[in-house]
Amino acid sequence: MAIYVADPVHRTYSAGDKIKLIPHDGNITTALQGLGWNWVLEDECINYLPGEAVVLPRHQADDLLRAADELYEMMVASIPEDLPDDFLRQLGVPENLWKLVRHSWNDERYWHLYGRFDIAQTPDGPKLIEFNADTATSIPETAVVQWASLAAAGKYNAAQASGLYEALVAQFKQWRDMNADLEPSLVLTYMEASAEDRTNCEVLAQAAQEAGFDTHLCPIDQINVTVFGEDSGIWAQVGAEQWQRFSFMYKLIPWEQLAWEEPEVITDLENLSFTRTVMVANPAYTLIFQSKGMLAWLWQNYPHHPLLLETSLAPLTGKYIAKPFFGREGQNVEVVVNGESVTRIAGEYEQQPLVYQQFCDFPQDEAGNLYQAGVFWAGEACAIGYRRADGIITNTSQFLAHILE
Amino acid sequence: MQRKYLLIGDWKRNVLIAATASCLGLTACNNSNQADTATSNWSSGESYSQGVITELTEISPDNWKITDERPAGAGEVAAIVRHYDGQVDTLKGEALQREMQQYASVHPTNTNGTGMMDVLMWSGIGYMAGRMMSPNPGYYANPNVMQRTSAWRSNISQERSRVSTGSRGGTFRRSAPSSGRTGIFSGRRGGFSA
Repeated sequence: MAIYVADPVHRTYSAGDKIKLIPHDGNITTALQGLGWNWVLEDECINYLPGEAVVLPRHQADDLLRAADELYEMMVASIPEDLPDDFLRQLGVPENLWKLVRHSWNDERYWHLYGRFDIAQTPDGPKLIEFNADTATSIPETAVVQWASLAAAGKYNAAQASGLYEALVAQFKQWRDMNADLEPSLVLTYMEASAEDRTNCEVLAQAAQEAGFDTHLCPIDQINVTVFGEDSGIWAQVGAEQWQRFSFMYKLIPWEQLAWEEPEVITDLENLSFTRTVMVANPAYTLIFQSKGMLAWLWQNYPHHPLLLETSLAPLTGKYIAKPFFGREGQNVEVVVNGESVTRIAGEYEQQPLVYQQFCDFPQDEAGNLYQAGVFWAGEACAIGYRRADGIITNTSQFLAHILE
Repeated sequence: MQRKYLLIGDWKRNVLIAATASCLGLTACNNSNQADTATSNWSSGESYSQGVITELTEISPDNWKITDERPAGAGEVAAIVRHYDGQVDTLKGEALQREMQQYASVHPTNTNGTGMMDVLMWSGIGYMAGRMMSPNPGYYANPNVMQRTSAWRSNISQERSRVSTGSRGGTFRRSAPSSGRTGIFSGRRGGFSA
Protein backbone atom coordinates (compact mmCIF):
# COMPACT_ATOMS: atom_id res chain seq x y z
CA MET A 1 0.00 0.00 0.00
CA ALA A 2 1.53 3.27 -0.95
CA ILE A 3 -0.19 6.43 -1.98
CA TYR A 4 1.75 9.61 -1.58
CA VAL A 5 1.13 13.23 -0.95
CA ALA A 6 -0.95 15.29 -3.31
CA ASP A 7 1.02 18.09 -4.83
CA PRO A 8 -1.20 21.17 -4.80
CA VAL A 9 1.07 23.01 -7.24
CA HIS A 10 1.04 20.40 -9.93
CA ARG A 11 -2.63 19.49 -10.01
CA THR A 12 -3.47 19.39 -13.68
CA TYR A 13 -6.74 17.50 -13.60
CA SER A 14 -9.68 18.72 -15.54
CA ALA A 15 -13.10 18.04 -14.09
CA GLY A 16 -13.34 15.00 -16.30
CA ASP A 17 -10.42 13.37 -14.52
CA LYS A 18 -11.94 13.69 -11.09
CA ILE A 19 -13.02 10.60 -9.26
CA LYS A 20 -16.80 10.53 -9.15
CA LEU A 21 -18.59 9.30 -6.07
CA ILE A 22 -22.14 8.28 -5.32
CA PRO A 23 -23.58 8.11 -1.85
CA HIS A 24 -25.49 4.98 -0.89
CA ASP A 25 -27.27 3.85 2.23
CA GLY A 26 -26.32 0.21 2.27
CA ASN A 27 -25.61 -0.97 5.80
CA ILE A 28 -23.55 -4.12 5.95
CA THR A 29 -22.86 -4.17 9.67
CA THR A 30 -25.07 -7.19 10.30
CA ALA A 31 -23.62 -9.05 7.34
CA LEU A 32 -20.06 -8.47 8.51
CA GLN A 33 -20.93 -9.48 12.04
CA GLY A 34 -22.74 -12.52 10.71
CA LEU A 35 -19.60 -13.56 8.85
CA GLY A 36 -17.52 -12.89 11.94
CA TRP A 37 -15.61 -10.15 10.09
CA ASN A 38 -15.97 -7.49 12.76
CA TRP A 39 -12.41 -6.29 12.20
CA VAL A 40 -13.55 -4.59 9.01
CA LEU A 41 -15.60 -2.22 11.15
CA GLU A 42 -13.32 -1.86 14.14
CA ASP A 43 -12.39 1.68 15.14
CA GLU A 44 -8.69 1.07 15.34
CA CYS A 45 -8.54 -0.16 11.79
CA ILE A 46 -11.20 1.47 9.70
CA ASN A 47 -10.60 -0.63 6.64
CA TYR A 48 -13.87 -0.05 4.98
CA LEU A 49 -15.51 3.23 4.19
CA PRO A 50 -19.26 2.90 4.10
CA GLY A 51 -21.77 5.19 2.49
CA GLU A 52 -19.87 6.09 -0.69
CA ALA A 53 -18.82 4.27 -3.83
CA VAL A 54 -16.50 5.20 -6.68
CA VAL A 55 -18.27 5.46 -10.02
CA LEU A 56 -15.89 3.83 -12.47
CA PRO A 57 -16.50 4.27 -16.20
CA ARG A 58 -16.42 0.87 -17.88
CA HIS A 59 -13.68 1.84 -20.29
CA GLN A 60 -11.46 2.82 -17.35
CA ALA A 61 -12.14 -0.53 -15.71
CA ASP A 62 -11.17 -2.19 -19.00
CA ASP A 63 -7.96 -0.14 -19.04
CA LEU A 64 -7.05 -1.09 -15.48
CA LEU A 65 -7.60 -4.80 -16.02
CA ARG A 66 -5.79 -4.75 -19.35
CA ALA A 67 -2.88 -2.92 -17.70
CA ALA A 68 -2.56 -5.60 -15.00
CA ASP A 69 -2.54 -8.40 -17.58
CA GLU A 70 0.03 -6.63 -19.68
CA LEU A 71 2.24 -5.77 -16.71
CA TYR A 72 2.22 -9.39 -15.59
CA GLU A 73 3.31 -10.56 -19.04
CA MET A 74 6.00 -7.89 -19.16
CA MET A 75 7.39 -8.97 -15.80
CA VAL A 76 7.54 -12.64 -16.74
CA ALA A 77 9.12 -11.88 -20.12
CA SER A 78 11.77 -9.62 -18.58
CA ILE A 79 13.16 -12.22 -16.19
CA PRO A 80 16.49 -13.59 -17.45
CA GLU A 81 16.79 -17.32 -17.92
CA ASP A 82 18.32 -19.23 -14.99
CA LEU A 83 18.07 -16.19 -12.76
CA PRO A 84 21.75 -15.16 -12.62
CA ASP A 85 23.26 -14.22 -9.26
CA ASP A 86 23.65 -10.59 -10.31
CA PHE A 87 19.98 -10.33 -11.13
CA LEU A 88 18.79 -11.77 -7.81
CA ARG A 89 21.30 -9.60 -5.95
CA GLN A 90 20.12 -6.49 -7.79
CA LEU A 91 16.55 -7.24 -6.71
CA GLY A 92 17.61 -7.73 -3.10
CA VAL A 93 16.43 -11.35 -2.92
CA PRO A 94 18.04 -12.78 0.25
CA GLU A 95 20.78 -15.21 -0.73
CA ASN A 96 19.43 -18.04 1.39
CA LEU A 97 16.30 -18.01 -0.79
CA TRP A 98 18.06 -18.27 -4.15
CA LYS A 99 17.78 -22.05 -4.36
CA LEU A 100 14.06 -22.02 -3.66
CA VAL A 101 13.50 -19.07 -6.00
CA ARG A 102 15.27 -20.84 -8.87
CA HIS A 103 13.72 -24.20 -8.12
CA SER A 104 10.20 -22.78 -8.09
CA TRP A 105 10.80 -20.63 -11.20
CA ASN A 106 11.99 -23.64 -13.21
CA ASP A 107 9.10 -25.92 -12.24
CA GLU A 108 5.71 -24.77 -13.46
CA ARG A 109 3.91 -26.79 -10.80
CA TYR A 110 4.79 -23.93 -8.44
CA TRP A 111 1.74 -21.86 -9.13
CA HIS A 112 1.41 -18.15 -8.52
CA LEU A 113 -2.08 -17.99 -7.06
CA TYR A 114 -2.68 -14.25 -6.98
CA GLY A 115 -1.23 -10.79 -6.48
CA ARG A 116 -2.36 -7.17 -6.47
CA PHE A 117 -1.12 -4.38 -8.71
CA ASP A 118 -1.34 -0.92 -7.15
CA ILE A 119 -2.03 1.47 -9.98
CA ALA A 120 -2.46 5.23 -10.34
CA GLN A 121 -4.97 6.39 -12.94
CA THR A 122 -3.37 9.42 -14.56
CA PRO A 123 -4.33 11.61 -17.51
CA ASP A 124 -1.71 9.58 -19.42
CA GLY A 125 -3.38 6.29 -18.53
CA PRO A 126 -2.74 3.75 -15.78
CA LYS A 127 0.74 3.74 -14.19
CA LEU A 128 2.18 0.94 -12.11
CA ILE A 129 3.08 1.99 -8.58
CA GLU A 130 4.02 -1.47 -7.31
CA PHE A 131 3.05 -5.13 -7.43
CA ASN A 132 2.18 -6.99 -4.22
CA ALA A 133 2.94 -10.40 -5.65
CA ASP A 134 3.66 -12.45 -2.56
CA THR A 135 1.29 -11.62 0.30
CA ALA A 136 -1.34 -9.16 -0.95
CA THR A 137 -4.31 -8.58 1.32
CA SER A 138 -7.72 -6.84 1.05
CA ILE A 139 -9.17 -10.04 -0.39
CA PRO A 140 -12.37 -9.95 1.74
CA GLU A 141 -12.99 -6.30 0.93
CA THR A 142 -12.46 -6.81 -2.79
CA ALA A 143 -14.25 -10.13 -3.17
CA VAL A 144 -17.14 -9.71 -0.74
CA VAL A 145 -17.45 -6.47 1.21
CA GLN A 146 -17.70 -4.12 -1.76
CA TRP A 147 -20.28 -6.37 -3.33
CA ALA A 148 -22.25 -6.49 -0.07
CA SER A 149 -22.33 -2.73 0.37
CA LEU A 150 -23.99 -2.22 -3.00
CA ALA A 151 -26.26 -5.22 -2.51
CA ALA A 152 -27.37 -3.80 0.84
CA ALA A 153 -28.10 -0.51 -0.92
CA GLY A 154 -30.38 -2.36 -3.33
CA LYS A 155 -28.27 -1.67 -6.42
CA TYR A 156 -28.99 -5.10 -7.87
CA ASN A 157 -28.67 -4.04 -11.50
CA ALA A 158 -25.26 -2.43 -11.09
CA ALA A 159 -22.09 -4.18 -12.21
CA GLN A 160 -18.72 -4.44 -10.51
CA ALA A 161 -15.24 -5.74 -11.29
CA SER A 162 -15.09 -8.04 -8.29
CA GLY A 163 -14.57 -11.53 -9.68
CA LEU A 164 -11.66 -12.31 -7.35
CA TYR A 165 -13.24 -15.27 -5.60
CA GLU A 166 -14.14 -17.05 -8.83
CA ALA A 167 -10.64 -16.49 -10.20
CA LEU A 168 -9.11 -17.85 -6.98
CA VAL A 169 -11.19 -21.03 -7.25
CA ALA A 170 -9.88 -21.52 -10.80
CA GLN A 171 -6.30 -20.92 -9.64
CA PHE A 172 -6.56 -23.40 -6.77
CA LYS A 173 -8.04 -25.98 -9.18
CA GLN A 174 -5.16 -25.49 -11.55
CA TRP A 175 -2.64 -25.79 -8.72
CA ARG A 176 -4.27 -28.98 -7.50
CA ASP A 177 -4.49 -30.52 -11.00
CA MET A 178 -0.84 -29.81 -11.71
CA ASN A 179 0.14 -31.57 -8.50
CA ALA A 180 -2.29 -34.46 -8.64
CA ASP A 181 0.39 -36.78 -7.24
CA LEU A 182 0.11 -35.02 -3.87
CA GLU A 183 -2.68 -35.39 -1.33
CA PRO A 184 -4.96 -32.34 -1.77
CA SER A 185 -4.60 -31.14 1.81
CA LEU A 186 -3.87 -27.44 2.27
CA VAL A 187 -2.91 -25.59 5.44
CA LEU A 188 -3.26 -21.80 5.31
CA THR A 189 -0.92 -20.01 7.70
CA TYR A 190 -0.89 -16.47 9.05
CA MET A 191 0.24 -14.39 12.03
CA GLU A 192 -2.11 -15.21 14.87
CA ALA A 193 -2.30 -11.64 16.16
CA SER A 194 -3.88 -10.36 12.96
CA ALA A 195 -7.63 -10.88 12.57
CA GLU A 196 -7.32 -9.20 9.19
CA ASP A 197 -4.75 -11.68 7.94
CA ARG A 198 -6.80 -14.58 9.24
CA THR A 199 -9.88 -13.36 7.39
CA ASN A 200 -7.90 -13.05 4.17
CA CYS A 201 -6.92 -16.68 4.68
CA GLU A 202 -10.55 -17.63 5.39
CA VAL A 203 -11.62 -16.45 1.96
CA LEU A 204 -8.70 -18.24 0.32
CA ALA A 205 -9.59 -21.42 2.26
CA GLN A 206 -13.18 -21.26 1.08
CA ALA A 207 -12.03 -20.91 -2.53
CA ALA A 208 -9.56 -23.78 -2.09
CA GLN A 209 -12.27 -26.02 -0.65
CA GLU A 210 -14.42 -25.33 -3.64
CA ALA A 211 -11.46 -26.36 -5.80
CA GLY A 212 -11.27 -29.71 -4.03
CA PHE A 213 -8.74 -29.07 -1.27
CA ASP A 214 -9.16 -30.28 2.27
CA THR A 215 -8.27 -27.06 4.13
CA HIS A 216 -7.19 -26.01 7.59
CA LEU A 217 -6.38 -22.54 8.97
CA CYS A 218 -3.48 -22.37 11.38
CA PRO A 219 -1.29 -19.63 12.87
CA ILE A 220 2.25 -20.05 11.54
CA ASP A 221 3.71 -20.54 15.02
CA GLN A 222 1.54 -23.61 15.56
CA ILE A 223 2.55 -25.67 12.55
CA ASN A 224 5.10 -28.45 12.87
CA VAL A 225 7.71 -28.73 10.12
CA THR A 226 9.38 -32.13 10.00
CA VAL A 227 12.11 -32.95 7.49
CA PHE A 228 13.30 -36.39 8.56
CA GLY A 229 11.89 -39.88 8.14
CA GLU A 230 8.44 -41.01 7.25
CA ASP A 231 6.84 -38.11 9.12
CA SER A 232 8.40 -35.57 6.74
CA GLY A 233 5.99 -32.79 5.98
CA ILE A 234 4.03 -29.93 7.47
CA TRP A 235 1.73 -30.92 10.30
CA ALA A 236 -1.03 -29.11 12.13
CA GLN A 237 -3.36 -30.14 14.92
CA VAL A 238 -6.86 -30.59 13.55
CA GLY A 239 -8.57 -32.29 16.48
CA ALA A 240 -8.12 -33.66 19.96
CA GLU A 241 -5.11 -35.95 19.65
CA GLN A 242 -5.27 -35.61 15.90
CA TRP A 243 -2.54 -34.11 13.72
CA GLN A 244 -2.77 -33.97 9.97
CA ARG A 245 -0.02 -33.85 7.38
CA PHE A 246 -0.44 -31.20 4.69
CA SER A 247 1.04 -31.46 1.23
CA PHE A 248 0.17 -27.89 0.30
CA MET A 249 0.82 -24.76 2.33
CA TYR A 250 -0.33 -21.22 1.74
CA LYS A 251 1.56 -18.62 3.77
CA LEU A 252 0.39 -15.08 4.35
CA ILE A 253 3.95 -14.49 5.55
CA PRO A 254 6.43 -12.64 3.33
CA TRP A 255 9.25 -14.77 1.94
CA GLU A 256 11.88 -12.17 2.77
CA GLN A 257 10.82 -12.05 6.44
CA LEU A 258 11.10 -15.84 6.65
CA ALA A 259 14.52 -15.66 5.00
CA TRP A 260 15.78 -12.97 7.38
CA GLU A 261 14.19 -14.04 10.64
CA GLU A 262 13.71 -17.80 10.29
CA PRO A 263 16.54 -19.03 8.06
CA GLU A 264 16.25 -22.60 9.38
CA VAL A 265 12.69 -22.72 8.11
CA ILE A 266 13.96 -21.84 4.63
CA THR A 267 16.36 -24.80 4.81
CA ASP A 268 13.47 -27.04 5.89
CA LEU A 269 11.23 -25.79 3.10
CA GLU A 270 14.02 -26.36 0.57
CA ASN A 271 14.26 -29.91 1.79
CA LEU A 272 10.50 -30.47 1.61
CA SER A 273 10.25 -28.81 -1.81
CA PHE A 274 13.14 -30.67 -3.43
CA THR A 275 11.69 -33.98 -2.24
CA ARG A 276 8.24 -33.03 -3.53
CA THR A 277 6.78 -33.42 -0.07
CA VAL A 278 5.21 -29.97 0.17
CA MET A 279 4.17 -27.28 -2.31
CA VAL A 280 4.16 -23.72 -0.98
CA ALA A 281 2.25 -20.76 -2.39
CA ASN A 282 2.77 -18.12 -3.34
CA PRO A 283 5.98 -19.63 -4.72
CA ALA A 284 9.37 -18.23 -3.71
CA TYR A 285 9.90 -16.69 -7.16
CA THR A 286 7.09 -14.23 -6.52
CA LEU A 287 9.59 -12.35 -4.36
CA ILE A 288 11.21 -11.28 -7.65
CA PHE A 289 7.95 -9.56 -8.64
CA GLN A 290 7.40 -8.27 -5.12
CA SER A 291 10.80 -6.56 -4.83
CA LYS A 292 10.55 -2.90 -5.73
CA GLY A 293 13.90 -3.40 -7.41
CA MET A 294 11.74 -5.01 -10.11
CA LEU A 295 10.26 -1.58 -10.89
CA ALA A 296 13.72 -0.33 -11.89
CA TRP A 297 14.39 -3.56 -13.80
CA LEU A 298 11.13 -3.11 -15.74
CA TRP A 299 11.99 0.48 -16.70
CA GLN A 300 15.42 -0.68 -17.80
CA ASN A 301 13.84 -3.37 -20.01
CA TYR A 302 10.88 -1.32 -21.24
CA PRO A 303 12.06 2.30 -21.10
CA HIS A 304 9.25 4.86 -21.46
CA HIS A 305 6.61 2.14 -21.57
CA PRO A 306 3.23 3.88 -21.12
CA LEU A 307 2.28 1.72 -18.09
CA LEU A 308 5.50 2.50 -16.23
CA LEU A 309 6.89 5.42 -14.26
CA GLU A 310 10.59 6.06 -14.60
CA THR A 311 12.28 4.10 -11.84
CA SER A 312 15.94 3.71 -11.06
CA LEU A 313 18.33 2.38 -8.44
CA ALA A 314 19.92 5.84 -8.33
CA PRO A 315 18.18 9.11 -7.37
CA LEU A 316 16.30 10.85 -10.20
CA THR A 317 15.98 14.54 -10.91
CA GLY A 318 12.94 16.71 -10.27
CA LYS A 319 10.26 15.21 -8.06
CA TYR A 320 10.46 11.57 -7.13
CA ILE A 321 9.70 8.98 -4.48
CA ALA A 322 12.33 6.92 -2.69
CA LYS A 323 11.04 3.65 -1.29
CA PRO A 324 12.58 0.54 0.26
CA PHE A 325 12.74 -2.71 -1.75
CA PHE A 326 10.51 -4.62 0.63
CA GLY A 327 8.61 -1.84 2.40
CA ARG A 328 4.95 -2.20 3.34
CA GLU A 329 2.11 0.19 4.02
CA GLY A 330 4.06 3.22 2.86
CA GLN A 331 6.68 2.90 5.60
CA ASN A 332 10.02 4.67 5.01
CA VAL A 333 8.72 6.27 1.83
CA GLU A 334 10.21 9.66 1.07
CA VAL A 335 9.15 12.37 -1.37
CA VAL A 336 12.07 14.34 -2.82
CA VAL A 337 11.90 17.55 -4.85
CA ASN A 338 15.06 18.82 -6.54
CA GLY A 339 17.22 16.85 -4.17
CA GLU A 340 15.40 17.97 -1.02
CA SER A 341 13.25 15.72 1.10
CA VAL A 342 9.75 17.18 1.45
CA THR A 343 8.00 14.28 3.15
CA ARG A 344 9.33 11.28 4.94
CA ILE A 345 7.33 8.53 6.58
CA ALA A 346 8.82 6.66 9.51
CA GLY A 347 9.03 2.91 9.48
CA GLU A 348 10.94 -0.27 10.15
CA TYR A 349 12.54 -0.69 6.73
CA GLU A 350 15.24 1.92 7.07
CA GLN A 351 18.11 -0.47 6.40
CA GLN A 352 16.84 -1.65 3.03
CA PRO A 353 18.11 -0.60 -0.40
CA LEU A 354 15.94 1.98 -2.17
CA VAL A 355 14.39 2.47 -5.55
CA TYR A 356 13.63 5.90 -6.92
CA GLN A 357 10.36 6.31 -8.77
CA GLN A 358 9.16 9.35 -10.65
CA PHE A 359 6.45 11.16 -8.66
CA CYS A 360 2.93 10.63 -9.89
CA ASP A 361 -0.29 12.41 -8.99
CA PHE A 362 -3.16 10.19 -7.98
CA PRO A 363 -6.64 11.10 -9.14
CA GLN A 364 -8.76 13.06 -6.68
CA ASP A 365 -12.39 13.60 -5.85
CA GLU A 366 -14.00 17.03 -5.36
CA ALA A 367 -12.85 17.07 -1.75
CA GLY A 368 -9.22 16.46 -2.68
CA ASN A 369 -9.01 12.84 -1.49
CA LEU A 370 -6.55 10.67 -3.40
CA TYR A 371 -7.48 7.33 -4.95
CA GLN A 372 -5.36 4.30 -5.72
CA ALA A 373 -6.71 1.32 -7.67
CA GLY A 374 -5.76 -2.14 -6.44
CA VAL A 375 -6.11 -4.51 -9.39
CA PHE A 376 -6.08 -8.17 -8.45
CA TRP A 377 -4.44 -10.67 -10.74
CA ALA A 378 -5.29 -14.35 -10.22
CA GLY A 379 -4.34 -16.08 -13.46
CA GLU A 380 -5.75 -13.00 -15.12
CA ALA A 381 -6.79 -9.54 -14.00
CA CYS A 382 -10.07 -10.17 -12.22
CA ALA A 383 -11.06 -7.48 -9.72
CA ILE A 384 -10.63 -3.84 -8.73
CA GLY A 385 -10.74 -2.28 -5.28
CA TYR A 386 -10.16 1.36 -4.36
CA ARG A 387 -8.21 2.80 -1.46
CA ARG A 388 -8.38 6.43 -0.61
CA ALA A 389 -6.58 8.89 1.61
CA ASP A 390 -6.90 12.56 2.31
CA GLY A 391 -3.18 13.18 2.43
CA ILE A 392 -0.27 10.93 3.14
CA ILE A 393 -1.28 7.32 3.13
CA THR A 394 0.27 4.72 5.30
CA ASN A 395 -1.71 1.85 6.70
CA THR A 396 -4.79 3.88 7.52
CA SER A 397 -6.20 4.25 4.03
CA GLN A 398 -9.77 3.22 3.54
CA PHE A 399 -11.36 0.78 1.18
CA LEU A 400 -14.24 1.93 -1.02
CA ALA A 401 -16.66 -0.04 -3.11
CA HIS A 402 -16.92 0.79 -6.79
CA ILE A 403 -19.74 0.64 -9.28
CA LEU A 404 -19.35 0.46 -13.04
CA GLU A 405 -21.00 3.01 -15.24
CA MET B 1 -11.20 -9.10 -24.85
CA GLN B 2 -14.61 -9.07 -23.22
CA ARG B 3 -14.22 -8.51 -19.49
CA LYS B 4 -16.33 -10.45 -17.03
CA TYR B 5 -18.09 -7.87 -14.91
CA LEU B 6 -20.47 -9.13 -12.32
CA LEU B 7 -24.00 -8.08 -11.60
CA ILE B 8 -24.68 -7.14 -7.97
CA GLY B 9 -28.05 -8.89 -8.09
CA ASP B 10 -26.46 -12.23 -8.92
CA TRP B 11 -25.93 -13.50 -5.39
CA LYS B 12 -25.94 -17.13 -6.35
CA ARG B 13 -22.64 -16.73 -8.15
CA ASN B 14 -20.51 -18.06 -5.31
CA VAL B 15 -20.88 -19.50 -1.86
CA LEU B 16 -19.40 -16.51 0.00
CA ILE B 17 -21.61 -14.04 -1.79
CA ALA B 18 -24.60 -16.29 -1.12
CA ALA B 19 -23.73 -16.47 2.58
CA THR B 20 -23.35 -12.71 2.75
CA ALA B 21 -26.63 -12.21 0.92
CA SER B 22 -28.21 -14.42 3.51
CA CYS B 23 -26.70 -12.38 6.35
CA LEU B 24 -28.08 -9.24 4.70
CA GLY B 25 -31.50 -10.83 4.65
CA LEU B 26 -31.63 -10.65 0.85
CA THR B 27 -32.54 -14.28 0.51
CA ALA B 28 -34.78 -14.54 3.55
CA CYS B 29 -37.91 -15.08 1.49
CA ASN B 30 -36.58 -17.75 -0.79
CA ASN B 31 -34.10 -20.48 -0.15
CA SER B 32 -32.35 -18.85 2.79
CA ASN B 33 -29.23 -20.69 3.87
CA GLN B 34 -29.95 -19.86 7.43
CA ALA B 35 -33.56 -20.92 7.39
CA ASP B 36 -32.48 -24.21 5.88
CA THR B 37 -29.73 -24.94 8.30
CA ALA B 38 -31.57 -23.70 11.32
CA THR B 39 -34.30 -26.22 10.74
CA SER B 40 -32.31 -29.23 9.63
CA ASN B 41 -28.55 -29.72 9.80
CA TRP B 42 -27.91 -28.33 13.21
CA SER B 43 -30.68 -29.97 15.17
CA SER B 44 -29.15 -33.27 16.10
CA GLY B 45 -25.74 -32.91 14.54
CA GLU B 46 -26.42 -36.25 12.86
CA SER B 47 -24.87 -35.15 9.61
CA TYR B 48 -21.53 -34.53 11.34
CA SER B 49 -19.09 -36.96 12.91
CA GLN B 50 -18.99 -34.85 16.08
CA GLY B 51 -21.44 -32.82 18.13
CA VAL B 52 -20.79 -30.12 20.70
CA ILE B 53 -21.72 -29.32 24.28
CA THR B 54 -21.81 -25.65 25.20
CA GLU B 55 -22.11 -24.18 28.68
CA LEU B 56 -23.71 -20.75 28.94
CA THR B 57 -23.58 -18.72 32.16
CA GLU B 58 -25.63 -15.67 33.08
CA ILE B 59 -22.81 -13.51 34.47
CA SER B 60 -25.19 -10.71 35.47
CA PRO B 61 -28.92 -10.41 34.79
CA ASP B 62 -29.51 -11.07 31.08
CA ASN B 63 -25.81 -10.90 30.31
CA TRP B 64 -24.63 -14.30 29.12
CA LYS B 65 -21.25 -15.69 28.19
CA ILE B 66 -20.03 -18.98 26.82
CA THR B 67 -18.08 -20.37 29.78
CA ASP B 68 -17.24 -23.82 28.47
CA GLU B 69 -17.48 -25.64 25.19
CA ARG B 70 -16.21 -29.02 24.08
CA PRO B 71 -16.67 -31.39 21.17
CA ALA B 72 -18.98 -34.32 21.81
CA GLY B 73 -19.94 -37.56 20.11
CA ALA B 74 -21.88 -37.74 16.87
CA GLY B 75 -25.44 -36.53 17.36
CA GLU B 76 -24.72 -35.04 20.79
CA VAL B 77 -25.65 -31.36 20.75
CA ALA B 78 -26.60 -29.69 24.01
CA ALA B 79 -26.51 -26.39 25.88
CA ILE B 80 -26.00 -26.39 29.64
CA VAL B 81 -27.64 -23.20 30.83
CA ARG B 82 -26.58 -21.68 34.18
CA HIS B 83 -28.97 -18.94 35.24
CA TYR B 84 -27.99 -16.01 37.46
CA ASP B 85 -30.22 -17.31 40.25
CA GLY B 86 -28.34 -20.61 40.32
CA GLN B 87 -30.83 -22.67 38.35
CA VAL B 88 -29.25 -25.01 35.79
CA ASP B 89 -31.07 -26.32 32.71
CA THR B 90 -30.01 -28.47 29.83
CA LEU B 91 -31.37 -27.70 26.40
CA LYS B 92 -31.13 -30.41 23.77
CA GLY B 93 -33.01 -32.32 21.12
CA GLU B 94 -36.39 -30.97 20.13
CA ALA B 95 -36.48 -28.36 22.87
CA LEU B 96 -33.23 -26.84 21.62
CA GLN B 97 -34.40 -27.08 18.05
CA ARG B 98 -37.66 -25.31 18.89
CA GLU B 99 -35.86 -22.49 20.72
CA MET B 100 -33.47 -21.98 17.83
CA GLN B 101 -36.20 -22.01 15.23
CA GLN B 102 -38.19 -19.46 17.16
CA TYR B 103 -35.16 -17.25 17.55
CA ALA B 104 -34.14 -17.63 13.89
CA SER B 105 -37.59 -16.65 12.70
CA VAL B 106 -37.24 -13.32 14.54
CA HIS B 107 -33.49 -12.84 14.05
CA PRO B 108 -32.38 -14.24 10.71
CA THR B 109 -28.84 -13.12 11.51
CA ASN B 110 -26.82 -13.02 14.69
CA THR B 111 -27.24 -9.93 16.83
CA ASN B 112 -25.11 -7.92 19.20
CA GLY B 113 -27.37 -8.86 22.11
CA THR B 114 -26.17 -10.57 25.28
CA GLY B 115 -29.35 -12.55 25.98
CA MET B 116 -29.19 -16.30 26.32
CA MET B 117 -30.29 -17.12 22.78
CA ASP B 118 -28.25 -14.26 21.28
CA VAL B 119 -25.14 -15.76 22.83
CA LEU B 120 -26.10 -19.36 22.09
CA MET B 121 -26.27 -18.48 18.40
CA TRP B 122 -22.62 -17.34 18.60
CA SER B 123 -21.57 -20.64 20.17
CA GLY B 124 -20.47 -23.89 18.59
CA ILE B 125 -24.13 -24.84 18.36
CA GLY B 126 -24.75 -21.71 16.30
CA TYR B 127 -21.71 -22.56 14.21
CA MET B 128 -23.16 -25.99 13.38
CA ALA B 129 -26.36 -24.25 12.38
CA GLY B 130 -24.42 -22.09 9.94
CA ARG B 131 -25.10 -18.87 11.85
CA MET B 132 -21.60 -17.52 11.26
CA MET B 133 -18.35 -18.45 9.56
CA SER B 134 -16.07 -17.84 12.50
CA PRO B 135 -16.74 -17.32 16.19
CA ASN B 136 -16.62 -13.98 17.96
CA PRO B 137 -14.34 -13.96 21.00
CA GLY B 138 -16.54 -11.31 22.60
CA TYR B 139 -19.16 -13.94 23.40
CA TYR B 140 -16.74 -16.23 25.16
CA ALA B 141 -15.73 -15.84 28.80
CA ASN B 142 -12.10 -15.94 27.68
CA PRO B 143 -10.10 -16.84 24.56
CA ASN B 144 -9.11 -20.24 25.94
CA VAL B 145 -12.70 -21.38 25.97
CA MET B 146 -13.04 -20.45 22.31
CA GLN B 147 -9.77 -22.16 21.50
CA ARG B 148 -11.04 -25.48 22.86
CA THR B 149 -13.29 -25.93 19.86
CA SER B 150 -11.11 -24.46 17.12
CA ALA B 151 -10.01 -27.86 15.81
CA TRP B 152 -13.59 -29.08 16.09
CA ARG B 153 -14.82 -26.12 14.03
CA SER B 154 -12.27 -26.88 11.39
CA ASN B 155 -13.57 -30.47 11.20
CA ILE B 156 -17.15 -29.30 10.89
CA SER B 157 -16.13 -26.90 8.15
CA GLN B 158 -14.29 -29.64 6.28
CA GLU B 159 -17.16 -32.08 6.62
CA ARG B 160 -19.48 -29.42 5.30
CA SER B 161 -17.32 -28.97 2.22
CA ARG B 162 -17.04 -32.72 1.68
CA VAL B 163 -20.79 -32.95 1.25
CA SER B 164 -20.31 -31.44 -2.17
CA THR B 165 -16.87 -32.69 -3.10
CA GLY B 166 -16.90 -36.24 -1.78
CA SER B 167 -14.80 -37.45 1.09
CA ARG B 168 -11.04 -37.63 0.84
CA GLY B 169 -8.35 -39.46 2.63
CA GLY B 170 -5.64 -37.80 4.62
CA THR B 171 -2.58 -38.59 6.66
CA PHE B 172 -3.10 -38.33 10.39
CA ARG B 173 -1.32 -39.15 13.63
CA ARG B 174 -2.22 -38.77 17.28
CA SER B 175 0.53 -36.35 18.20
CA ALA B 176 2.93 -33.98 16.51
CA PRO B 177 6.11 -35.51 15.10
CA SER B 178 8.65 -35.07 17.86
CA SER B 179 11.54 -33.91 15.69
CA GLY B 180 9.60 -31.13 14.00
CA ARG B 181 10.21 -27.40 14.10
CA THR B 182 7.54 -25.25 15.74
CA GLY B 183 7.09 -21.70 16.98
CA ILE B 184 7.90 -19.98 13.69
CA PHE B 185 7.71 -16.20 14.24
CA SER B 186 6.45 -16.81 17.76
CA GLY B 187 8.27 -13.69 18.95
CA ARG B 188 6.61 -11.41 16.43
CA ARG B 189 3.51 -9.32 16.91
CA GLY B 190 1.10 -8.16 14.24
CA GLY B 191 0.43 -9.31 10.74
CA PHE B 192 1.95 -8.69 7.37
CA SER B 193 -0.93 -6.96 5.62
CA ALA B 194 0.12 -5.33 2.41
